[in-house]
Amino acid sequence: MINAQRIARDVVVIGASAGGIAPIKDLLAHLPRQFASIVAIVVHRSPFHETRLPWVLGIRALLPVLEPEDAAPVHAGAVYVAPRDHHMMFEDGVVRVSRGVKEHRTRPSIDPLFRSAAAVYGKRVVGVLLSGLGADGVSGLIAIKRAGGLSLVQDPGEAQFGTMPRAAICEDDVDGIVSIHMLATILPALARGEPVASVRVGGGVLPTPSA
Amino acid sequence: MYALPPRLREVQDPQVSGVSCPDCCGMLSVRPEGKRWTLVFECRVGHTFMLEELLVAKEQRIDALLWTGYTAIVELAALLGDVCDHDTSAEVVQQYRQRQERARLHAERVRRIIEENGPVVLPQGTEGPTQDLPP
Repeated sequence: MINAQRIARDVVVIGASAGGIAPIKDLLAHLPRQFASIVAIVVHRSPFHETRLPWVLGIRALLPVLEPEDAAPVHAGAVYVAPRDHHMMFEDGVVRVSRGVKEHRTRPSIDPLFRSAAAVYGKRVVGVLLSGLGADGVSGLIAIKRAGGLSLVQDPGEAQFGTMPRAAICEDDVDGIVSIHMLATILPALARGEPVASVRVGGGVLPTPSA
Repeated sequence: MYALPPRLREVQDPQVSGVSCPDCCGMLSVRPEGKRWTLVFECRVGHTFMLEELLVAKEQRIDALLWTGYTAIVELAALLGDVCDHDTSAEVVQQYRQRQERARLHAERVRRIIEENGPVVLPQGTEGPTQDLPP
């Protein structure tokens, strides 16, 4: 059982890399208009190209999707996307956007967002790691769990690149291994403080950690 | 001097490692994280690497530095050659030509080292790092 404690988990932080655009578009298309959580997304992206990533991600979304200015006040029901070449972090009721030190040789990086969410929102946080290569976000998910939050990963079998979610599964005890389709119903339930049945799709084909 | 501190997996706190940050040359600390005690490296200013990312970064640095050395030698040889084609006394030209010849030889050796310097092959499932992906 996930969230047997019936805590309202109304802060959702999502990290994705290669193969992450399509699942995020899907997820946002299925989150209801009245979804009143704080949602923040980091997708690894080129620092050199100006793109309309928020527009792309939100093409079928019912919630507003935007790249925040530095020190913008946090609003529930908005979806924040980290701008190119900037980390995005939570701090005391605002979103900070800065050209801080690169982590995992990338900026934006997933770990700073996850860590800051854990520090500011603690148990309210659900961290979600989607398709990608490398291991950005793994350390951040561990920090979220340590602060009492929940960690979910996209089923590595469904993900176009399963390396990143698989790394999280190997290195820590994630609370759920989910499909994007399931995520769209699980997140609103968790936000309402409801418990959710344990989900570990693809559990049989997961790699067993080698010492 | 060690690269990884000897009692690495018995201590949860960050310890000083014996290797430097590939991005800023600062000292790296290393700490185990998660249930498998995976290694996370972080320098004073916050550049952060998982073990495989650090290996890749070190490989990239070696490659870049070898090419830098190769270019420096080749440039010197070219410069000496062009100088000799201009004026300068016979004695100096002889000196320069000798050095140019040695430089050419060394450049060839470095070039061979670069070609033989195939990088480490990482275990499956640790592909990355992922940067500059078109969104």
